[in-house]
Amino acid sequence: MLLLCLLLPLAASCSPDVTEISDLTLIMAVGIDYDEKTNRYTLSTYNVMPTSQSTERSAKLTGWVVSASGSSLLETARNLRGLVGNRMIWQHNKFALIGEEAARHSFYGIMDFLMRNRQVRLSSYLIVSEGKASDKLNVRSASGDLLSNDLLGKVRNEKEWGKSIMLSIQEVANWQPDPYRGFVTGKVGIASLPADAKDELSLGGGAVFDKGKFKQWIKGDDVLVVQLLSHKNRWRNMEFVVSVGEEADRATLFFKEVGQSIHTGFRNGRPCVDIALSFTATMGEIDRSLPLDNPAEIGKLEQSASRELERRIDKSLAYFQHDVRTDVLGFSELFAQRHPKHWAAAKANWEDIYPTMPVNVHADVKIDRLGMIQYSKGQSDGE
Amino acid sequence: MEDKQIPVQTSAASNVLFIRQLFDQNEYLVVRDISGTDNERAILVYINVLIDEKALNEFIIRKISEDQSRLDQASGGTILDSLHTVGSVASIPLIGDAAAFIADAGILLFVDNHSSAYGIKLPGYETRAIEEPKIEVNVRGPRESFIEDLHTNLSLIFRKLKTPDLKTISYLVGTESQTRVTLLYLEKKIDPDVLNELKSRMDKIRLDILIANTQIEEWIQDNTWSPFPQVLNTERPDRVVTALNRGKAAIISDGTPIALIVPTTFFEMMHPSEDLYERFYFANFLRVLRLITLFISLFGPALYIAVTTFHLEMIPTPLMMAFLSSKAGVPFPTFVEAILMEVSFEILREASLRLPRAVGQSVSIVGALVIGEAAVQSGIVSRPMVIVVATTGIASFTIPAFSTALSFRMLRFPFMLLAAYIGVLGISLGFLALLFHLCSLRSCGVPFLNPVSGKGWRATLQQFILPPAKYRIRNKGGS
Repeated sequence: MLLLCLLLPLAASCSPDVTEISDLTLIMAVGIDYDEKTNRYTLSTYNVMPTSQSTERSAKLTGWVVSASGSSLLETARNLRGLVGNRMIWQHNKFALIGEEAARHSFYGIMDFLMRNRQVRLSSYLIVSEGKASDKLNVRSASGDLLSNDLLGKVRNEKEWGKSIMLSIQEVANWQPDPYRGFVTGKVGIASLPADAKDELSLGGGAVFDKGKFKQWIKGDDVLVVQLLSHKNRWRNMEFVVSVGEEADRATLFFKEVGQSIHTGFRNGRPCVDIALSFTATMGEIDRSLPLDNPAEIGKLEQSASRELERRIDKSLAYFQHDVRTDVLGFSELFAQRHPKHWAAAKANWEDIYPTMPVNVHADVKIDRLGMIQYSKGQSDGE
Repeated sequence: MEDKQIPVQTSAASNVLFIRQLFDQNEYLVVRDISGTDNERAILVYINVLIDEKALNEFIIRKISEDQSRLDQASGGTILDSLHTVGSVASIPLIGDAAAFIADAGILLFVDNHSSAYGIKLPGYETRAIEEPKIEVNVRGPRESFIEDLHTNLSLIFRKLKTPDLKTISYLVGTESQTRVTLLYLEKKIDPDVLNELKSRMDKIRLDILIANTQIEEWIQDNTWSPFPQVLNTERPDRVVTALNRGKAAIISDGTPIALIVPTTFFEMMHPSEDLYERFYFANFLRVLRLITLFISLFGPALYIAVTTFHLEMIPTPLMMAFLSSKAGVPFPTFVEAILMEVSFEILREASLRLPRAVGQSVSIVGALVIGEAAVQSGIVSRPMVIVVATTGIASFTIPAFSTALSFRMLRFPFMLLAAYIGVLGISLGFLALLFHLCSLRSCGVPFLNPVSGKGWRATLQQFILPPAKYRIRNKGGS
């Protein structure tokens, strides 16, 4: 009896709920494609597992891609099991790459699959891929790192340039059913590098979704404006670079957004939006010597920087309103929250109101650091 | 038994006969007739290995003979008078007590026509010198520890507490060993209920021989089956004094260099005396550190098992990848791996403890090399497991009360088992059960988990955080 009791602990490993790490394959990124003609899904997963079973040192991790297709995503996901020797777990999945066609034609089904699956993390990023998503997973990163790590690094770099944007599955799921607003999520493409270089995945620009479907691509500069006018936790730590001035005396500055107020109201019964943004700036690069010890000169620079930012934001907003015709910034939400009565009357005509709605932008730039090099007056006079 | 109740006779010779019968077959019993005359005989009886025979001859016998020759009178009465001048003389009316007196390093004098024996204690056996503490080592505090001799131990305490308030109660425990056990307390500080409870428990002890005071601990503890010790033991006199000042009682027994302190609580076991000797910042840092290591030593391997076999989503991805690559090719399930490592660690620890000191060190080095490096190299155990087990092992060494640390070492295994069966849920259920058990424990009627004292929030807080000496509430937690 005692002997049996002593053996009992060993039975613990027989528990069916136990998942041993050594039996696992981690799915790090998943690509979803859809063929409208055949009405079939293709699911590609980027998997990571240790290759060498050698015992010296720790084994090297390698990533590889498997694809399966089926008439529904869940079925397709199960079909993958026949292709992978280990147990696949989704919990560490970081990216859901949606093919352009899939995003356009069956996005609802894809979102439903991602949301309903208990193993998929809602914090993973949803990115739309130019062309097929499975092709992107097969691109080897030039650094030799795992594709998922490489991509994650690129996502982290987002806040250093602002021209790419990433939404998590959760954020997409929150906005997707809203009939009035759209949203912008990330776009992944293949960088056009010199001919002899390897292909490299690039993040940049964005994918506009409207009424639960992919609508069109937008460029990096427009994405930056979306970032600036979005929620504080996006722009708080973001630093971007803009060149200010004419060719002769161009200065490039680092900008950081420090304040944002989006005021919504009704003027003459028509909705309007007033945006006030404040930035701090740091001198990054000047083409020629400027008398920087002169406060008036700094003031002039601040003025022209403010105008430049306003011009860019105005341009992008006009593009969203007139060409894209999608409320990617969520003005409709602001109206609905702040003016529920007016909104109830206006929401039926929102599609007509939005493109013609006046949006005023005011930017205020303050240059607080000039960088390491200080030009003295004597030097600048001497030139 | 009947012999012991016999009163001392007026004939010294017949008394000696009784004693001889009691100490039959004991060739170290010495009987010396020191009377000069036959009419009133005076006979000394003692066991020569117990007493200081040299002192007896040089001082007592010489004094007696000097007095005899000075007074020119050789009666038993004069010998008795001389004896009174060299030390405190006990008068013993019963033969049985007289025999016990001899057995406890006493010299007995039987005088004709006296209906009691007269005894003087003259212990002459060797005792160890007071040394530095071996278990509870510290940096700044006093460096003396108890030894096996009760009198020395008592003197170590008495000289630190110069107050008539310090009370003692003596017990003779063990029907054969007749070991002297002393209960000490400060009358003004101790809770009378606790004292009465303790006294009644001390009276209930039934033992043949008392070798180590662990036996007393087992008799007076509240819960016999608990894995946790409910009595604090210490080898440091300063710690006993601190405890007495906090209203606790100390039990010191002859032959054990360890004092017992009752009642005690879990948190007192977690705070070594060194806390009082370091600057309070550092002391508090150590207190926090010890709580962390307590957690690690109890849950370390269990949590690792639970997280890596049940809750993979809890592991951050980069860590998961590291685990993934180091677990590749390891043939055992995580739990078996953990048991393997833990058991070999315990074997190592036991081996290095039992072996002679010089060899012990090499065993631990070789063992660490064998288990750590070779096991990983040969792919039997994964690297993270080695780290977890090593960390756990080291963490368990930081728990100051050795016997508490032992119970945590043991409890680790059931927790690992629970984790292997149902993951973190098992650990939480186990922890809940453990908590219930700890809450139910009492030490002499005082709740074992008692951090709350009736003296207000400052005293309560002091159980966790040590304020600077100036701001300590006196009595409780003070030094």
